[in-house]
Amino acid sequence: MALGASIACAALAVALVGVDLAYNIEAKLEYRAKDGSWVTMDQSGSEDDWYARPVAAGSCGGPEWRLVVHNGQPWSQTLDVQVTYDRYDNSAPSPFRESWNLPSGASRSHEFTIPAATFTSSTGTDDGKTPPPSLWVTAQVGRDIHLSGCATAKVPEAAA
Amino acid sequence: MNERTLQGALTFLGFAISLMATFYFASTYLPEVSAWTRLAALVLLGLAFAFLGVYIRGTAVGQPFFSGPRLSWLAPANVLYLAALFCGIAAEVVFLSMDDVSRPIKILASLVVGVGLIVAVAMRGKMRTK
Repeated sequence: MALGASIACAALAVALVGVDLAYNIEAKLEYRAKDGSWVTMDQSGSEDDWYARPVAAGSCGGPEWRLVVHNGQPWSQTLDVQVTYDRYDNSAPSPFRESWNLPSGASRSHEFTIPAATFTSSTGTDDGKTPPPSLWVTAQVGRDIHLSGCATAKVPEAAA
Repeated sequence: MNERTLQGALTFLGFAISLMATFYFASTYLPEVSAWTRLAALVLLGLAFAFLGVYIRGTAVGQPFFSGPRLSWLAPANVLYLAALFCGIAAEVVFLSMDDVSRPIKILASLVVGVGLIVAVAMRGKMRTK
């Protein structure tokens, strides 16, 4: 009896985690390269690692971006989606904020272009690695997904 | 090494490896799932450990791992109960750090569960002594 209950509890715990991992909300932040292709911003590593990368080496996107969200869960989801420009001087307005209702298996994207004036008035970032004019594009999807990417006024050739 | 010590040492090693695998699973995958799944998984893992402890206490491997009075507390059932306790505390930490639940509900639910556990154990002990 106790052994059966133990096995059942352990199996249920593993199954729950497995289902949660398999059916998830996926989001990606992409920038458009010069050849017109969309390049996904690499979000691997910890946030500290990510910000410490030498952005000046060419891993920044251009002014054209899109946020893609896919609902892989077996039920529909209503998600608060927000895109902001995070500038060193913190004066950029929040350009996009919506609530998306995504049915199971559905994807939705939001394309946006950062105005040139937003770049030229930016003072850059204080990490010493992001040359002005530049800023960070940040996206929040629901409560748990936070994405960010470096943007410059210059359109990159292709994936860095 | 006598037979009892060898058996105890091997059982202890088996427990150590199994518990390390479980904690590796928890530390690898639990941070990636939603808070509710994390909470449910921790509660279920805690129950799994507790039930396994109840089962193993009455079996041949339920004896203390090592002979001697100092290590007599280090028995398989106690190790499993401690693992269950750790899971319960971790589940409570996850619950208290949830954004979905308002603070008064978190406090109330935690108190109900906590005091409920104490009262349930006390009542069970009272019934046994009668």
